[in-house]
Amino acid sequence: MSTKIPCHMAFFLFYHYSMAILKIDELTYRLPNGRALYQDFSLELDSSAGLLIYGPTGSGKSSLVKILLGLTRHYRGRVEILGKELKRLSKAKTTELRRSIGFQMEEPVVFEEMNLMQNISVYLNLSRQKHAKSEIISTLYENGFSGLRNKRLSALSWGEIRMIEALRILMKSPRLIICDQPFAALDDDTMEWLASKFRAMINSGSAVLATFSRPEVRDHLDWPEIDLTR
Amino acid sequence: MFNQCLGFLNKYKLLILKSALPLSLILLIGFAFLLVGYNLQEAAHGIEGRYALEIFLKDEALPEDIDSLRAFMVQQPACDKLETVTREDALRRMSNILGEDLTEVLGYNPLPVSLIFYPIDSYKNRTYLEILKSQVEKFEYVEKGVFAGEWLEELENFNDIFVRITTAFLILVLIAYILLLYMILNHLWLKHQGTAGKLHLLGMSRFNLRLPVYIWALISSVFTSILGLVILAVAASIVSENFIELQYFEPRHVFAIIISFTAISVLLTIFKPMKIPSYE
Repeated sequence: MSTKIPCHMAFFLFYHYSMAILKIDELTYRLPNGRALYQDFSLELDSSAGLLIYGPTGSGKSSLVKILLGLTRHYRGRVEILGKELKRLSKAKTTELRRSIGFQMEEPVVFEEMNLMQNISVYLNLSRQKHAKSEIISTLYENGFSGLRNKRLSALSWGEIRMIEALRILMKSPRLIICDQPFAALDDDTMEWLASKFRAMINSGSAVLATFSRPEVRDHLDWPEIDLTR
Repeated sequence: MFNQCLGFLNKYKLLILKSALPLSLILLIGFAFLLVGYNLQEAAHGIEGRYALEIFLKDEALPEDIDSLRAFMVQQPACDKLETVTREDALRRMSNILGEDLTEVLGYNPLPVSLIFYPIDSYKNRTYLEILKSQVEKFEYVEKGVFAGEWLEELENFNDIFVRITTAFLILVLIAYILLLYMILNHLWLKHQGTAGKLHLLGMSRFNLRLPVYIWALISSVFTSILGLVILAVAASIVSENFIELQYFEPRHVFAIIISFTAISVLLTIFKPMKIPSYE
């Protein structure tokens, strides 16, 4: 038996899934000291696609991520995320938007005094997602973290924390993922593990944008690349 | 949200308890002054009734004399009430005070007839009563007039001064309370700020981040006010038992005190800018 979708719903679904998940149009951003980081910079990212942004230190990778997360608003141009223009959103709406996407900052955003389970639970609660405890435990088990689930994050290594950040994004399965240097300070095996997670996210329909400064990242991900080097 | 508040309060329970003690002590000092002022005012209300001139008549005074004196007193524009105390009434009152019948001891009733003159409020002062006293003492069947005005006015003046001092002191206590609460709030927020920044970055609204602090202010102020009032009640009962009888606040006063301090604390928390790190 086939299910008929009403016309207006079909149009909504078509519009919702056909539009670019992330769209930057003629972005110009200057640092407070007047140095221009980008001049009329544009890009578009659709669902089930990955994009790498390469650049050495000071090229503006982190600034771009902050702009995309709505943390920096002093720019010219148009930035659209999930069909919403960032500059038109109020602070509360920007926070709401951030809640709906997945992201990694240059420094981990975790709660060191909480254990692994609590960290993931808080993160998923903030994203308004309900996951059974058993579901979290099973994900941790599948990825070799079951022994660490009651450990405080202050007792874990940098690499482990970055992996946990990736895992919680994976559990959230957002439509857009923005990561600032997720491969920084990771060994080769961990880089491959993380790359495989990014590929899994893309296969499940997410769009992923990741910045990097280490050329070895290209050995793990063969995504289109934008170079911010001047 | 509720769990988050509980978690926050649980996390900072030691700090909350440590902050409750100095806040309660500050409030205790203020409340103690308030209680003394309240007792003085209550005492002054009791004393107001004693702004009266009691005129004792000689034993040989005839009923017509009493009537003519009554007529003279009632004609006074300041007259609010005039009470006649017969020899029997006076004896009953005295016996009640002494706990034994005077006639049994002395064999006769030595107390004279008296009239008690109560002036209206605007004439409740020493000067008027002294003038009136000198006028009635001119009647030949009047023994003497008596009133407690000599010390009443001084007590009232002292009471007025004390109320002013108490008000000034309460303002100082309130300032000290607000400053201490502000410092504790700053300390609490500085501890919470890093976590608040991360939570905000991950999508928690600013209101939800500040809510636990508002709840802390609410619980803390109710708790400290009650603690201050309980310590004062214990102290007041000890003073009442051993030194001088003190009247404690009425329930409505206790309620008003708790509500006022809670309102001050919560308003202070709401107007305190709690900055959330922006990660910009």
